[in-house]
Amino acid sequence: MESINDAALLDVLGQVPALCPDFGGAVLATRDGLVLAAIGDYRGDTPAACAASLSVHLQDDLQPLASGDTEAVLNEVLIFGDATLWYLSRLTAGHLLLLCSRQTVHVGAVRLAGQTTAMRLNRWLIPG
Amino acid sequence: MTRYLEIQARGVAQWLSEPAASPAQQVFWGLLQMPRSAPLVPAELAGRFGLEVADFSRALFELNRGHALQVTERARDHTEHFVYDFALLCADLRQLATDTPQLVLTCDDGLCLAQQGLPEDVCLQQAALCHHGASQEFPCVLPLHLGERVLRLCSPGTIDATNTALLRLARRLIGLQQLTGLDV
Repeated sequence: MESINDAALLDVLGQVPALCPDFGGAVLATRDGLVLAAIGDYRGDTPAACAASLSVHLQDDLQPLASGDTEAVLNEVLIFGDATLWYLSRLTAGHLLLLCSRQTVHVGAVRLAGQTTAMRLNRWLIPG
Repeated sequence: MTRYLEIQARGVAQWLSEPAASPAQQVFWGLLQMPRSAPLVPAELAGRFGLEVADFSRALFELNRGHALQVTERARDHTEHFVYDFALLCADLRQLATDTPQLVLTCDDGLCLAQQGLPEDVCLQQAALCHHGASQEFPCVLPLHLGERVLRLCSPGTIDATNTALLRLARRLIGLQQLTGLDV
């Protein structure tokens, strides 16, 4: 059985603080909410579980609004809090990347940081 | 004696404002992505940029005439300018904002990548507006065609096209794209 290169994932995540303004934390989670790698304030089980829950619920809640018989696929989501910005992205095999930035002005920088990190992580993730 | 090609900040505004189509644009874009000054070996560089030597030579002349390129006797290393770090990008923008107190750099999705001197609500609004071109409040919009991406530098005043921070900014954004390992 192939295994995921944990060190490589952590190395990619480790570069997020330089890319993301006012970086809070980042977690790479499986679709069922298990931690694959995490840095900053998002170490521990809770952020990974939140990422999975968010992904499932947003998808379910938006499904009735999807046109025709198509499935509402959420590839990227940006969520604005009072002073927090979250970026959620779906990666290879349904894995999830959740980033947190403690500011809401530089939205484009957060999205670019998320997109860049997602592309780099995808190289190390095994397709389902 | 080997001579080297050194692109100048002025070329960023001049040659990145549209997608690279002409030989001069191709050469500027190619040189911009190189981490060190390119030795002036026309046949080698022409091949690298997919041009005939005659077209390459004409492109060099055109770039030089527009002050987008200098021929120097000493090579320079720009590797550190390709390091993308959000804090460094903001520092470049601050240096670029010495003539105009307000600047917004927008992504191709109309979101604010970095800004200088703006309150949040104005910044988000102007980033979205400038994505579609100049606005009344921000009449100066400088598009930066960086491979697949088109970023825009927007200001209520003028943008100093000769400021070396503009060149560093472009290199840093290329550095970000190079992180993904995709061609820019």
